[in-house]
Amino acid sequence: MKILVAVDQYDYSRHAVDEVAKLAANTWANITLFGVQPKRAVGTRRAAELKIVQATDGPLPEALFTLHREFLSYFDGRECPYAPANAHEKLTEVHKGVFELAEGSGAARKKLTIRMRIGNPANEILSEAKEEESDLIVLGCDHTNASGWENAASVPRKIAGSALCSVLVVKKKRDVQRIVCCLDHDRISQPSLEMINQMVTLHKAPLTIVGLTDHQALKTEVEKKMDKILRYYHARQIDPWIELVEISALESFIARETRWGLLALWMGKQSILTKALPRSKVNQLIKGGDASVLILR
Amino acid sequence: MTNAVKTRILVLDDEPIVLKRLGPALEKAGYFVEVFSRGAEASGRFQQENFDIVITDLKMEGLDGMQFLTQVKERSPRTEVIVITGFATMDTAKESYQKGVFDFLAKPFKLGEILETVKKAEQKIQQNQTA
Repeated sequence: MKILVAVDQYDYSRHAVDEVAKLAANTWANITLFGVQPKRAVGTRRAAELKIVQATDGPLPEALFTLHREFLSYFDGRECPYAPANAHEKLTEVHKGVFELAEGSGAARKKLTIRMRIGNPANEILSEAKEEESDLIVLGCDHTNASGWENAASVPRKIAGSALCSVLVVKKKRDVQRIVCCLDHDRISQPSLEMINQMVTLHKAPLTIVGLTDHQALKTEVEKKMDKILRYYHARQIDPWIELVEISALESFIARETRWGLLALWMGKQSILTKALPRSKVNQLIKGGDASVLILR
Repeated sequence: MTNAVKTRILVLDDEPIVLKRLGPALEKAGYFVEVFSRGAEASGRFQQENFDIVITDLKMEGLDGMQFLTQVKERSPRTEVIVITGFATMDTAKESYQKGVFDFLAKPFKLGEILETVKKAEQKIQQNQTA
């Protein structure tokens, strides 16, 4: 599994890194801690040099170093799959506009990359995920404060709406008491089921699988398909709660279920959820409320 | 390339969809591949034939992948094992490495990631042969 953790210098990014550290401790995933320095106008003769100075100084690089140390502190040194932090914390330009921290010395089973680009945060995060073929993008979001993601408060919503892979938007630190997963039983993708499995394993939380139906006649058919999903989980010693929800009642259902801490929505290209749940409602879930949101693809 | 010189890979996963995706991708990459969805069959086959690389799931109906990994390493220590799991935990990761796996991959993963891992395992096998 490859996880791209998009961070900035604000507190919600610490929560996101904390969540990723827990997930990484289980999965030993290849991780990229990724920051984007927004472009600033540079109007001098020494523009190129100044650009590098601006890129590698300031709160974002500092935040990347701190988050890197915090991520590694989650692991027992002898059993950590990642290389230790480099004592010399300095970002160097490895490609045009791409900066990286050199890995510390020592054997590493898995990759932990600290990378920064310059540009529009949402665009750069999406490009990075595509180039790296990430399986999951994780980023934090402060639901109580419209600011954050410097100059682009809508970054989490843009990422959740446009990424090709799954996206986990982490809200405030809280225990996940139940994972509520709304999926399209007809077209749920295998990577999405696998991502749900990892989340259930991570949080040791009960799972509710929500099937959608739009009228009574379809209910029996949906129940049959949900039974298939139920058998999939039973074979893996997971005992999910299955719930059927009328599409017309989906919005109010979701609003209620955010109380459990983690809401997963399968929003693949052909998902019925993309029609049943307008983008504005998904944006509202990401922006408001304190439940983390996992967009599955 | 003939079967005689191809790297031989055994894949065990109880999810047919995983085998359907992985088998052809590995064959296309030039490997000789046998896929199994039942642990007992994979185990039986491994007793009969030598494989260079084994890719196995951990949590399956009927057979614990960790037991299969142990069997493989006991019978053929030179076989490189790649564990793939949809239910990864810190303990299973540690135990897998203690038992000598080449790599531990949590699902989901892209084909590119596992192909890269298989290539590295193949390089290690070749290095061991020339050493």
